[in-house]
Amino acid sequence: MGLTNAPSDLLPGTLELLILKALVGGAKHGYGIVEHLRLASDDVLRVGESALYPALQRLLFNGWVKAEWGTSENNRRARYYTLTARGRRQLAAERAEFDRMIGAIQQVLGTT
Amino acid sequence: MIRIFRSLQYLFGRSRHDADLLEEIEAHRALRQDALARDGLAPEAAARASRRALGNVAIAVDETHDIWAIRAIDNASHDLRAALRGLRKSPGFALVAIGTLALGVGANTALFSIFNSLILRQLPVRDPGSLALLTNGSWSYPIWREIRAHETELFDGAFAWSGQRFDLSTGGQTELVDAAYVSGRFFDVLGVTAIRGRMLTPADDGGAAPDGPVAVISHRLWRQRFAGANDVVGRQLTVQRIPFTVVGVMPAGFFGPDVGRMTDVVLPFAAEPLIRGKESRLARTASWWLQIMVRLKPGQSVEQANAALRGLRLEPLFAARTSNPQPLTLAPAATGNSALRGRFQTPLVVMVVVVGLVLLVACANMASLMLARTLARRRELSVRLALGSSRWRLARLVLIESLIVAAAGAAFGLAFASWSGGLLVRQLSTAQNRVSLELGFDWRVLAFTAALASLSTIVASVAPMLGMKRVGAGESLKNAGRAIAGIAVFPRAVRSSSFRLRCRSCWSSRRDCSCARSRRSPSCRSASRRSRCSSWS
Repeated sequence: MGLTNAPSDLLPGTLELLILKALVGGAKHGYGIVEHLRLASDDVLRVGESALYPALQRLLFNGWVKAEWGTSENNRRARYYTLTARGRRQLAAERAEFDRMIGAIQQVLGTT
Repeated sequence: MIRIFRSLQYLFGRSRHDADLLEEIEAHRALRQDALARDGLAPEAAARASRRALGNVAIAVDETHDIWAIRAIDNASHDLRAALRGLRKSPGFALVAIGTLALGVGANTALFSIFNSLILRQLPVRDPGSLALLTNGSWSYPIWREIRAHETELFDGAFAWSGQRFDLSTGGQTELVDAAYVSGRFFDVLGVTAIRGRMLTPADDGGAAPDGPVAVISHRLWRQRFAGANDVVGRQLTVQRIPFTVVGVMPAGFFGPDVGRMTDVVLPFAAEPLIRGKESRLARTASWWLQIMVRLKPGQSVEQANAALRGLRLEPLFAARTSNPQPLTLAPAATGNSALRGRFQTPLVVMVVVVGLVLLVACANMASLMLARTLARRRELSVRLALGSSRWRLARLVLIESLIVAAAGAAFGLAFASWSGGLLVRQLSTAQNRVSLELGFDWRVLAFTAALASLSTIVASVAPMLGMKRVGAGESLKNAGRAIAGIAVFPRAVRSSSFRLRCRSCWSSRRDCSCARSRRSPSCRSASRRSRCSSWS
């Protein structure tokens, strides 16, 4: 269980991509997204927990996700986020860009 | 545009938004705490640890504010600056477009402001909605005397007046002003109070008036004739060669019950025998010279008031007036009484429609100007597209440009309207009948002008937006390149440098453009490469 609030050392813009990906499986609240990222990355990716919310707001602002209030597992009001059609398109575009970028970095690292 | 809307939504509901965010983060923390407690931590330790895991919530809330508000406002102000720069670059277009629109909007606003003050605007008195006018012409003083005797039992109040023209000169050239005789409770029932001195009272209208012959003057006359003097109350005013004492000044904006007439001097009916002597019409049963208005009791309908009035059995008093006497009928008179209204209503409506068509022509004009401008700017727009600007962003540029033109046009239009409206009203006046209409630009007129401006923005930007669909990224760059290459006498060095410039623009615009590679290769300058590169761009 990670108890740190180390600032995310992800590449800039990657957090949004990861959140979009995490929401492909269905609606999740903020805590659900954090846990999903942690479990799916075998405990490697630990998102600064309050840093998640500005990222979510950015996605909301761009219309890539939409939010609805619902009830969480522990019977509290929680905001659930779902991917919009534009969000799916954005995910595909960002993913392609990310693959290209990682490919290029690896290519550079691979040259002798 | 959607983003700007979202930002506005955010700015208006900011506290709600922040509260939602804090509640959401708190729910998150509670879930984390539960998870930690399940892992075996003591409740307090779990609460502390969950707070630590969240980190600085205040910073997160701050950051969301930046996202919602500042970025969108930045975008909007950037667009605005870009549009202003674009307009400054073509001042001819801007002047013609703004001028056309200013004339169109101005003519419409001028007519509408006349229409508004003559037909739509309510009298500037207390609760104009409960006023009712005795219709079907004028009435005699004996009839008024009967109604006055019962005014408080039948209605909330009643008053009578008669429009006159008086000579204010003390000798020499006549100075005619519009004036009126009014009944004693005239100002009381209307609910108009004096800004200097007092208004007329029933005592002034009685036989033994305590202050002698008195007059109340309009705000305009006070400013013009008495230069706004503070000691105007008690001064003499000569009306039809008879001295009257000024006892009060009416508030600015109150022109009397007749719309289209500026009642400058108000005298009580008791002054009528003084002025007309033996000719006095107060006792005559066959002189039809009064208008009568009543104020309905709260909850009293016009029908009930009619029934109450007919209960007075006044028919014998006016049976001789026409061959076909109608029963006494009151009509709602929130907008006052006007002889002009009947005369000008139909022509005004026709003119409003015609001038509306003129505005439509002006809009079409502006639309074709904008379209021509968009076509002339194809090159610039396609460079913008090539540099990664979205079509929506370009459309927004056109929209904001038309918005600026429309806003400037509306502003100049308002100025034009205030001048031309006054001119039009003066044209209505004749030697016998002076028309004076307060053309105040109230919210109705401003809303009308704003609606015109937005309408013209929309009409004028649809065509260029559609025209913009045909602009392709980098397309005009290609044409420009060909044109330069086509001139054989052009020095080789210039040609190759222009080519390099072109290459660089596609290098920066398309990250995946393989043109970048060719630029690095030495064969980039060869003619065959050049044609390939232009097909990429």
